[in-house]
Amino acid sequence: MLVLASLFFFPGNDPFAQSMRGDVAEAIKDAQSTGVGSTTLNHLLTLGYQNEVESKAMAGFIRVLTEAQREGFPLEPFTNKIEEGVAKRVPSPLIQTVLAKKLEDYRFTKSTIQETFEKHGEKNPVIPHGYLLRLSESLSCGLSREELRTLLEHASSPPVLPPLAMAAETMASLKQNQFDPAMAQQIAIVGLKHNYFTPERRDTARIIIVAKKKGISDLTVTTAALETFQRKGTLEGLASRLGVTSGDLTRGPAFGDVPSQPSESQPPVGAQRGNDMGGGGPGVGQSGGRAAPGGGGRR
Amino acid sequence: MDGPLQIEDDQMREIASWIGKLPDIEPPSNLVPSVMRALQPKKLSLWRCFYRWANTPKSVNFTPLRAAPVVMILIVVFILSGLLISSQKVFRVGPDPGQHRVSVIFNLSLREARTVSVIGTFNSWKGQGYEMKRERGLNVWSLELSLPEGRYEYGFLVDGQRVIPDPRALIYQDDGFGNRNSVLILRDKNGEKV
Repeated sequence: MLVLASLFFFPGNDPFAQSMRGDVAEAIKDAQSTGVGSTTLNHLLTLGYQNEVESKAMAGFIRVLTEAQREGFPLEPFTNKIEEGVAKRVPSPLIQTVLAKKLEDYRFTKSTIQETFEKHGEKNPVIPHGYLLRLSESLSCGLSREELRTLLEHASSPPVLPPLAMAAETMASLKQNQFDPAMAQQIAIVGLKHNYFTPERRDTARIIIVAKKKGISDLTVTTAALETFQRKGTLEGLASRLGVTSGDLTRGPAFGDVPSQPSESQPPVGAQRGNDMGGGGPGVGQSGGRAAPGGGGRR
Repeated sequence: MDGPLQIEDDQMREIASWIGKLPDIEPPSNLVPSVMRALQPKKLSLWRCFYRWANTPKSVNFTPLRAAPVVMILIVVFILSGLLISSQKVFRVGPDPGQHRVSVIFNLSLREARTVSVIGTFNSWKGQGYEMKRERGLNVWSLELSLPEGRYEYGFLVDGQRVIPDPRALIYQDDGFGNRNSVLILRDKNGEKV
């Protein structure tokens, strides 16, 4: 299939086309020897063929995948970005630039995580792809490298990645909602320190954002959050202190000119939705027993 | 009636006398071999032989008992090739289909839209098959999907032309191309698998 795809990929017999075809063939050969799966390569080649991606660009995409594979990164973020760029009709050089930046982000995150583990006496740690992905992608969600490094420096000993990922996403979410950056960082660090970022408390960021949207100052919200973290208080307590009701959470923050939708069901504050970031956008429920209408009351 | 015949007889006789006056000439020495060579059957190429063989009608006689082994072999080959094809994961990149799935409802309130689709990393950013339905009498578009646990970026494709982020998402991500994607993180209710 791979050979078929590459044969079909670049029609024409002129020397230029042949040299280009050679580029792709060489890139595929490298990718295969590095361990990139033929399924992934087939998928990429088919995508290129269907969307008439130039062979030079395709060779560049494959080289990025090869590099990601060589450095032990998950390939999905890279293939997803290529698919997204092609689907959005983005010029190939720009896709290549974005891929290069992503590769750098993953390198930075992986090396910083490794340094953190080494500081705690653990050499050659196994970094699950899922958490490497979430932490790396937080750099595209408004978190600076310095902020991510600072968060990792405040990791527990030994470092545990799930709370770190949730802390990074919480901080990014707060910053995106115009929360004071320094206070957002303080919330993330203190939450980490007190091991507050657990799956049961995934609505933390949401409560804080809703409180801000209701006009409560950043300082008041931060003070309430930090005290709750230190006392290991409940989310319901934090919400109640900030005047956030279950209805507020159900409707969720609405930005821009999109009106809020009336809700039919109102789960209790902190109800689990299966969404690690508080069921922010879409309604979420568990398979087999679908969520209540609106999936967490979002409809 | 005798006039024309008489003329033809005279002409024939005149021709015969001309032939009789012609000198005797010996035939060329290689006449016989060259004629024999021309008469010899030509040697056909292998391909030509095969073509003629394949193009010649044949009749096959068989009894059902004699055909049974051949039929059995064909059935086994058919089953094996089917198993081989089904065991290959063709064009599947993404979450393991065996993963736990989570039901998600996407909602968007939008006036003045003819079509809205959900696009994202879960469908290779293609809207086909992911069209949202407008609720009767409202400007609310919705679509329920069952997605494996994981982290997704997504947006709404409006009228097949512009992509807008989910205004209700809790977190967004710069797509690198000048726009924002909404981020959705799904995982098992009690698990930590992402």
